[in-house]
Amino acid sequence: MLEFLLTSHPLDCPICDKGGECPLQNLTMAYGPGKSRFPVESKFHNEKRVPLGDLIMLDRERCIQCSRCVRLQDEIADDHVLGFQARGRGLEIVSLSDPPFDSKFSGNTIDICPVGALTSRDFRLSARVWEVRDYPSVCAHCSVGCNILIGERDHDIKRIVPRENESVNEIFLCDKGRFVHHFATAPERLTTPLIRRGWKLEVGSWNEALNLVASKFAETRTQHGASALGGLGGDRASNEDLYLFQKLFRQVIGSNNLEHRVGWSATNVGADLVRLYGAGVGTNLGALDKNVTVLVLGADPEEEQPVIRLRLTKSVRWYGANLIVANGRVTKLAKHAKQSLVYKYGAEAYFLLGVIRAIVDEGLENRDFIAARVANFEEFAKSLEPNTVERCAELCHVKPEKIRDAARQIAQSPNLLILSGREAMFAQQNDPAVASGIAALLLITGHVGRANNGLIALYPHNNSMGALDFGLLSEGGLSVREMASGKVRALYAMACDPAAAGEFTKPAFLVVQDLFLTETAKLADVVLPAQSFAEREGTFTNTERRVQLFRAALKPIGESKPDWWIIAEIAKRLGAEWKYGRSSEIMEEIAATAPRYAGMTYAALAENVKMPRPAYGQGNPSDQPTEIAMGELENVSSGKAWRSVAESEPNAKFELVWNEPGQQSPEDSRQYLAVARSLYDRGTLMSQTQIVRPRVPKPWVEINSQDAEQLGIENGARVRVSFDSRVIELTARVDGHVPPDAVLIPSNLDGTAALPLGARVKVEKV
Amino acid sequence: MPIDYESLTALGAIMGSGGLVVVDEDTCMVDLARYFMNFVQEESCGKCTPCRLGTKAMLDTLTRITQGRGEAGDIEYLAELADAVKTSALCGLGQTAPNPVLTTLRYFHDEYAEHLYGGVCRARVCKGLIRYEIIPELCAGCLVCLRNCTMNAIVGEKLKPHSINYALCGKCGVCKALCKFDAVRVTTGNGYSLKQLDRAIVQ
Ligand code: SF4
Ligand code: SF4
Repeated sequence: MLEFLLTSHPLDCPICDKGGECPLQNLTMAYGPGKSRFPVESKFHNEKRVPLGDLIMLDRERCIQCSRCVRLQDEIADDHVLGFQARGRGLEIVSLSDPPFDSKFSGNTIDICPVGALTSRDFRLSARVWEVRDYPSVCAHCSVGCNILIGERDHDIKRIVPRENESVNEIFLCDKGRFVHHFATAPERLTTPLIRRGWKLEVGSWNEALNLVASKFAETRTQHGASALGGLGGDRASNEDLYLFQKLFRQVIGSNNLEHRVGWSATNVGADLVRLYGAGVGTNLGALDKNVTVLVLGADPEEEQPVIRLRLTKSVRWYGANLIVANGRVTKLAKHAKQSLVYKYGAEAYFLLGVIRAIVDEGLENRDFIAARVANFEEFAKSLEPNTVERCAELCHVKPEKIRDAARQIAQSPNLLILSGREAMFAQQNDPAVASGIAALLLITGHVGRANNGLIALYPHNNSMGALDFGLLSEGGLSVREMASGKVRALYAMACDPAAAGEFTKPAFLVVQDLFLTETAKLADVVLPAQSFAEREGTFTNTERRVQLFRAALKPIGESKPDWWIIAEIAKRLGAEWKYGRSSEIMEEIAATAPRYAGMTYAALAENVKMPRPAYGQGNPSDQPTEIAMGELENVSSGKAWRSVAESEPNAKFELVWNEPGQQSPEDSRQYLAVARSLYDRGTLMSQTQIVRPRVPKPWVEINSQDAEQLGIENGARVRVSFDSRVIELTARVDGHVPPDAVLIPSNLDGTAALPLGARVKVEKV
Repeated sequence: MPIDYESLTALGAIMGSGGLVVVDEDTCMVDLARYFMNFVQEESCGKCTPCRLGTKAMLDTLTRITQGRGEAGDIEYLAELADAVKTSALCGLGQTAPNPVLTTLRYFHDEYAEHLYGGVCRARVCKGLIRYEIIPELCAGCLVCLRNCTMNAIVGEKLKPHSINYALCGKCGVCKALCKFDAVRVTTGNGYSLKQLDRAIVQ
């Protein structure tokens, strides 16, 4: 067979990107004959450079027609965008979509292509793979926390490839994680501290800048009290940074004005639910079988946590997981759901209540669990009285039979996972009944404290969970909006850009610590250059509460310093006796003082772990455990998840909370604004990466066909959307993803920054 | 020979179109195999490697043999290829594709050997191994072949026996077809195959 393959394969190895890690090359070296019996002149020739979309280049001559790429797209990524064309030796890969290769997982085809036929247009011909040194790291974009290897050569990131971790990302990455890394070495990176002198920001020394910050902070504290100082820490920073940041404010300065929810992520809520009922350790979203029911509530993982979407789809298709998707609109994941429910935005609480009521009505609650661990079931059941399933159904616009059906599946399934996304979090924030409903659903069915049971909150960023763990939340302090509107006299903004995320009033003294001269940094009095995740080590906590270690790959850019170092230097100048020499010492302190992070030192996080290899539904069943393969490389493991209260305290009793759902807002003739997020947006990190620019969509507004007809809007027409005091003009898409009375606009694209989710908007034809 | 599944399978043939092909002694078995292989090459969907590329390798080898450029070991190579394709192709087309080669190899092994080692094509089909000759005794010198030769390879004068310039002859057979006197004949194994010629030139 090898001989056959080689008969049609060009002898490109010396210039092929795959050379050095090419299965065909390796097999040929191992088993192949030294000499071909095939006449050279009858080799097949074909196009060598076929751009397959913006990210991938196809070399038709190298392709061995194995169809792995087609199958990956069809069966795993679920984007049916590749196919074969023609036949015989002319059989060739083509992209069927417009724009070509329209998939968020296209980069994975580069890895699985057994030859150099599919190459990254970014990495192509830029380095030989054996010159590239791989450093184990963790993706710094979304909250999945995919394990990656940063391929470094000459202090530059050449490429990013997945590091196999069966419990986080398997062998996949989304294209954002794979291609959006140029920000780390962008020429726009800040290289020195900047200090405002007069109107201009001028280059200053570290000592000068830090002294100034410390003296201003001290001055503000003596003159206006500690609460005149506030801190905004971005949820892109590592655990070490966030821990020191809050320690600086709480212990050294004495202020509780701490927040991380800048911009649309102002909805990150539910940390207390996760702390109590978080999904049991050992939950593997990629290997959930028919005994697990997954309720995905108000989430759009395709755009926000792509690899989780991919793995859920895989669980459903290969292992038969029972997926229920409930949201105010139709998302891509809904296609795979056994049941897809579209409720009315704003009536989430009634949907949950309906399900709970249906369970109680049919006596499907888990009595043993309730007897052992729930304090007040009787009372709770009584308060449900007025809310019959029918009433809830009417209010949330889901048919009562569907609610009952979902209730049965949830209650009767041996395992239940609830994944709540951004739209559900927004609902939680507005209506305490949503949070208590989620908790009640888990408690009365007894689905907590074990693997494959409990709640996973799908947060937006790589370390949102860490920021919540370290209390960068306005409990008793000022909110983001208050801090951004000048309620504090001195503001310390680390790794976030409040000015770009909404209205911003510069306080008397503003310190910004970031990679770039962001909108906020342009206003700052002192700008401190921080290091990107590629230049330092640290830990991120992903949305499943898994703490993962990443290593430095690059040398620091300019004079930039790690965030924790900067914070520690400021603290020292404010009189604290902090002695942190390296980030591992901070993690040791966290491991010793924060009970949830107990034992999570770098050494412990770097241990290799063995994972049972899931028996694949198709072929290759194996019960050999797999060692996290790439972990062996630099001794970095898959990380450790902290245990929720339900799991760590098997005797803890829980209380069901009853909250009457919020009043339904009176019918409004205007539309409900649902805000989606596009994976590729205008974020700070995105905009530094040329290659993905064409992938950033033009902003649009999605309208239901009924509404569109009424308003006389056609697919593709320009419409004007007005809300609050803003008016934006967008292109309409009429395609049945949103229910009547709602419109959907993706945020953070051109002109769609800081959209108020849940606002009422007016849509008209231009 | 009964025509049923079992007896056909025992012979290495199949029931179906092209399963049984009746030919006479004017058909060269090697060329027949080549013809079928060409057909399979064109029909292959290309999805599996043995069919897509294995049949191409067989076709190339057969083509070489029919052109008189066969090499020692080609028969074994063909048998190996045929076996590999037969056992590893995914669908019926690929699995039966090598049948013409296998059956001809089994029953007409001699013909292959003759092609390779003797430079002989008994059926006088394989162009690389044949030669058109004008028999002087029968040639009436009518000029028909001379005028119609596609390569202008025939020399001669009116009413005198013509002869063929082999350096130009393209072996198209027009002369034989047009000759009213049956003065053109095809010979094979004229003491050389192309390969031997090559060798002679090198020496
Ligand atoms: S994975 Fe590579 S070799 Fe296989 S069909 Fe796709 S492009 Fe061709
Ligand atoms: S899914 Fe999220 S964590 Fe994984 S590669 Fe994509 S952006 Fe990074």
